[in-house]
Amino acid sequence: MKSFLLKKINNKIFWALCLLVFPVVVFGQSGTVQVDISVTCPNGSCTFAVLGCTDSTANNYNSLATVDDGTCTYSPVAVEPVRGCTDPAATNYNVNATVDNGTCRYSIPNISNFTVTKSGTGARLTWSIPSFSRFESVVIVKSAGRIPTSPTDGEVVYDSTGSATTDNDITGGVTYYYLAFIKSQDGGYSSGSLISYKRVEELEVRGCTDSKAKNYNSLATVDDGTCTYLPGNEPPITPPGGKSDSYFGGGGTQSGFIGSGPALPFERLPVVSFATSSEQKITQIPELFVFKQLGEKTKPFFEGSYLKIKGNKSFTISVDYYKLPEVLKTIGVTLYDSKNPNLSFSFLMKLNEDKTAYEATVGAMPNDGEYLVSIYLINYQDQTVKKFNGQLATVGSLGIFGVGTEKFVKQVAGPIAITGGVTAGIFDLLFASSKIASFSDVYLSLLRQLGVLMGLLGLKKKNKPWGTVYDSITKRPIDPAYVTVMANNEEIATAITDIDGRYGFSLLDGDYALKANKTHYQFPSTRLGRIINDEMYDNLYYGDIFHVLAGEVINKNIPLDPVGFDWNEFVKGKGNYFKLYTAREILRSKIIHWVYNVGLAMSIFYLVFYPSILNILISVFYLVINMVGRYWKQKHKVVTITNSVTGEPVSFAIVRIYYADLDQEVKKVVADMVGRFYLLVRPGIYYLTVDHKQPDGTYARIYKSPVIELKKGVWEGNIII
Amino acid sequence: MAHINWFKILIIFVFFGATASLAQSYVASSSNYILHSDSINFGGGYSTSTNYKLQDTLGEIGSGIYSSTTMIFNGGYQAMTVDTYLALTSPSNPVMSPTINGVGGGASNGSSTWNVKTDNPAGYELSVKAETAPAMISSGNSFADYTPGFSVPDYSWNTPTSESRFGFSPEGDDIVSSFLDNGVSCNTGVLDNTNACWTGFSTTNQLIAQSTVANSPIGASTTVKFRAEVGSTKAQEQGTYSANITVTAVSL
Repeated sequence: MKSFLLKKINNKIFWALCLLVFPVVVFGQSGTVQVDISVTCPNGSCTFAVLGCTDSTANNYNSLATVDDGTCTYSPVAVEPVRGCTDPAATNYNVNATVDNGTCRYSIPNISNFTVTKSGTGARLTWSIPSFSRFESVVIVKSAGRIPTSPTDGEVVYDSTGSATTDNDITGGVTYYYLAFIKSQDGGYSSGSLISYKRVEELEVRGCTDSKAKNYNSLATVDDGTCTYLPGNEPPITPPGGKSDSYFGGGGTQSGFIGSGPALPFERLPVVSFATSSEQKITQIPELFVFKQLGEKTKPFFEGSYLKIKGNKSFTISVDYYKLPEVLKTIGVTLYDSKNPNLSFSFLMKLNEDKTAYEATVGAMPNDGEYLVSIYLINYQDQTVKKFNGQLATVGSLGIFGVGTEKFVKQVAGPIAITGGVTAGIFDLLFASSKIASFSDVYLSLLRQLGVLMGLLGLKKKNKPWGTVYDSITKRPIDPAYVTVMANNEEIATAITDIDGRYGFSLLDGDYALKANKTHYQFPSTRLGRIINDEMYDNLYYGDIFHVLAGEVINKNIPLDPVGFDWNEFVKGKGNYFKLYTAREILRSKIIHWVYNVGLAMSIFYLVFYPSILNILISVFYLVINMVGRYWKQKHKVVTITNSVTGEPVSFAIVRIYYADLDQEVKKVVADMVGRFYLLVRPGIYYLTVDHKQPDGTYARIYKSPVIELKKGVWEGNIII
Repeated sequence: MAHINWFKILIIFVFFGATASLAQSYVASSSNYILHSDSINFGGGYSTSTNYKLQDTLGEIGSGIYSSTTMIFNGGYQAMTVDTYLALTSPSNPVMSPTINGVGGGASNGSSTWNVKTDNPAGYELSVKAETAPAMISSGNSFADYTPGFSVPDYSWNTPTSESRFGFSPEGDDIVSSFLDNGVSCNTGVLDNTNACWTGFSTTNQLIAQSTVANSPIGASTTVKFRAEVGSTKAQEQGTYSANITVTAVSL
């Protein structure tokens, strides 16, 4: 019983403890979240668009469609065909035409270079055929005493595809007019190139053969066109074809005017010196003739006018039909090369198919230039010819610049660029390795190069070098320096040092003194204290009088003291020197190469677009400069000495090269301020040493190279110490 | 009255006391049982009759509950009992964004994170279910419950252009294998890539997380990502749609 009570008490205590100490005792838990999303629709309507054709007139109209999807189809609408020329190559191409009506017209170019020369008793005709895809043949007709007007007007002397023929059916003293056409595969003809020819017999008597003329020569057998008449006695003009309604249908193109010889058919027609009423009327019409070019402004042509047109485009001379009296049916044009009036080209203006204007089209001019233009109006009613003279200038033939720009390039920029480029190339070639410090140095260098040239040509004796003019501090040879030989205070000889500072004279037996001059240097040197030898040179010279025996070679090396250069200051601030010097060299090199390249490009431009002997020579000159420059750089390959610790160049170090087998010094050079030098020796096996100039002015050997075979005699590869 | 042999009691006390001092407390289990805890004590027992059951102990040492940020100490045989502790956090409702265009389509996303904390050495299970079928409904309109292409969750969310769908993807510490992936498919691999393995809700519990060890006091977090999407050719009626999602955690 007691045990039971004890257990009961314990049980109560346990549950009480459970409630007090461990109130949350669970087997599982759950929780709920509410996930809300919002859906909105445009304009509150969530009806999906129905795509389809919304046009009720369409075949596939969808009454349920709310959005037109562009799929509407319609019954084909009967469209009236547009008839016209559908060939884009035709001159009357109609972009709207859907049915070709066979009316296409094509520009048929004329032959060019149409010339006639005497060939025995006949006439030799030659021409050039232009590029024309529909070309079929060349047709030439001939007429005596008058101008043919069509391929069927006159005697056909040629109808084939060649470019020359000989007409042997020639009567002496008779003027023949040849009109040459290009026949197209469509059966059309070009406007015709005109030329005339008259064979003058050696035994013929030339003169005026017209008995009505004032100067009639009864002995003359050949009329030379010099007849003059009293008023009222002038002979009638025979119109082309002998009729007033001449054939000149269709447009035509004169391709490539170059000149067609001396035959000037219109000049054989008499030009009246008085104005008729018709001519007065015509001359009062402003802008009677106009020159048209595609994309250019139409320009009027009148007596005495001077027109500029673009040479790279064909041009059309045009005069409105309604501006001319009915009697004026024939208009001829002759172009003369102003530089060679014997070169001329004549053609006729033709009434176009629309019968709105007389026209003639001339192809692009191959070269810029000036041409004299004569337009002849043949008045059959008045039996007179009215002549309009003017000038035509073609510019911008390249078509790659504007007219003004091309003229500027050709006449100003090009010559300046080419001249500058050549100068830069020469400067780079001849002066880059020299110490040009003033204009006098430039002068001396030019004199020296002239001397070298004369020496090469055998015009000047080359003296054996005596000694070297050099910088007393850096030991660098001075180039160029002016060395004078004095005798009894008189200057008897001069020399300019070469690139290695060397000079030489041929002197007779006697007493002499030398004087060396160089900008920013002082002679004689006082820095060396009149020592006889230094680290580089021996037999140093300080301006004393010395005696020379005939034929004697004296090696006198002349030190010069640089003005304004202090070695100690240089050592202290050489970092700044290097920066400044390097920046200047880079800038100079960039400028020279830029000018050179611009000039080279311009010379190539001229060579391509304006080929001439001069331009070829200029390009060859550039090529020579380039090749010589490459050869020079190969033979004078620059080697740089650099301190591996500081990264700075080793300035003014003495580099000596030795035969490896003999330990014999062969040559010594001094590196420049930025540690550069070049060595050119005979091919062989060598080693070199580098003596560094110390801050106190003495030298210390800091490098000896391995033995190296110099196959080309040029030391290659930079030296890092 | 039964005679109490105080001598025997003394012997037993000494024997158990000495043994207890050597054995200390431990947890043991077998295929048939789990011994959650034991205690150092003497006396007490388990008594039953037709009307009651009684468990009592005497002489427990260090009984009571002591806790810190890193541990909870339940001292005493009776204090421990056979029950376990399990706590489930109650996150606020998720914010779904953006608003979906009913014409032209679009998707809205949100998530909720639950933390389950239990000292049950056998671990816990976490399940989700929806209150309604389909889960996301409005007045007369709804989003269809997401249906995976196969019997396993879809690795990538997919909504046919003519449908609207609502579904979820669980991510967390104890995600069950059916929602784990190998970077390509679900129900294979050990990866728990984000925004992977999607399925729809049902009105019955779907197991999403499970652990067979206690995680108290840090607990384990499970994030359920919700997504609703309207296909591009689906016209979804305008309005606010809601789904009540219940998450249940139980001790194993």
